[in-house]
Amino acid sequence: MAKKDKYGHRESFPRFYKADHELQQRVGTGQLDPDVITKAQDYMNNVQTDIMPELRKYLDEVTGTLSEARKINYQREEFLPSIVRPLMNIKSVSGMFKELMICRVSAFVLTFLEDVKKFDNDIVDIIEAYTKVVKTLMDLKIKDETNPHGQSFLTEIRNACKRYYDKHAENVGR
Amino acid sequence: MPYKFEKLSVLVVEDSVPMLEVVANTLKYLGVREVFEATNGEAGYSIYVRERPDIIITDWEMNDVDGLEMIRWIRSNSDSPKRTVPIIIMTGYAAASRVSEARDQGVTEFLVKPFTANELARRLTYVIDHPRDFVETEVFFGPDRRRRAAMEYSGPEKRSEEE
Repeated sequence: MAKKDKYGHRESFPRFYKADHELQQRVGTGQLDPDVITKAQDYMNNVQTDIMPELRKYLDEVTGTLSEARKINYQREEFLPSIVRPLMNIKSVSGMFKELMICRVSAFVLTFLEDVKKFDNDIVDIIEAYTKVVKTLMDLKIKDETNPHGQSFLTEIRNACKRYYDKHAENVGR
Repeated sequence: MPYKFEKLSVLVVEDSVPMLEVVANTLKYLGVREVFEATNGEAGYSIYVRERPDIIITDWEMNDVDGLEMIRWIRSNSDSPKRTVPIIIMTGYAAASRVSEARDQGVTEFLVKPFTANELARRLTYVIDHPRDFVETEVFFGPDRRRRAAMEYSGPEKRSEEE
């Protein structure tokens, strides 16, 4: 049997701690009340916050880093996290505040960027196209993800990413 | 029997103020008694030590002290009041590598933004219904990850060889 310290823990690693059921005993268990969920979702659907200033701030971060990256031709991969982070924020914030078209385009590009290992000129072009699409969606106030203009922008981005996958398969996937 | 969320206290840490307000208010609509709010990991940690919330919901990427750093403090600092507190990380990242990275820092559950009120409520009930065993090594303290490792079996497939 393993030796224990004065607190009853094993002296050596690894140490194991049994799950604590205190919270479960206090809060109980059972079902979620559907009316409560509906009310909470109604609140989320009807929040009137103007999220555009925050989205523009994140978009400026993407374009700023992109123009920095354009100035050099080597080891640009270090710029990727500084682009992915605000892009991820655009996806999150736009989705939570019902800017669904912006969210959809951003989610697609984020998934693509999480997959690529290089940061070549084709990637730069795709990110630049993305920033233009998002800016246009903001300026035209396109929210609905079924909007035909929004759909065509998404298709353009999708095709650009597909061309990249076809051309640079060795740079994709972790 | 419904859950008694009125007996629950939750700390929300999020650097986007509109997002923080939405998450905090949604929790109140769900019936959570006490919701504490912070806009970065350092402030979040101070509130956690002072108020001892039952559950922590934190953003990942934040300026100064981010969510992962705050989680490291919660799981390892000597003044941390309850190192096994359930922590839900909310983030726009959804790649499997990100989930692994968060799990390696001691995250209990993962919530991808954007999310609905139902998804938020279900994460709360999940951490309530499924309290985790914890494991401590020289370099890690967090929920025991072996339940998932068991799914990653990569040895010979005996049955397919027999066929």
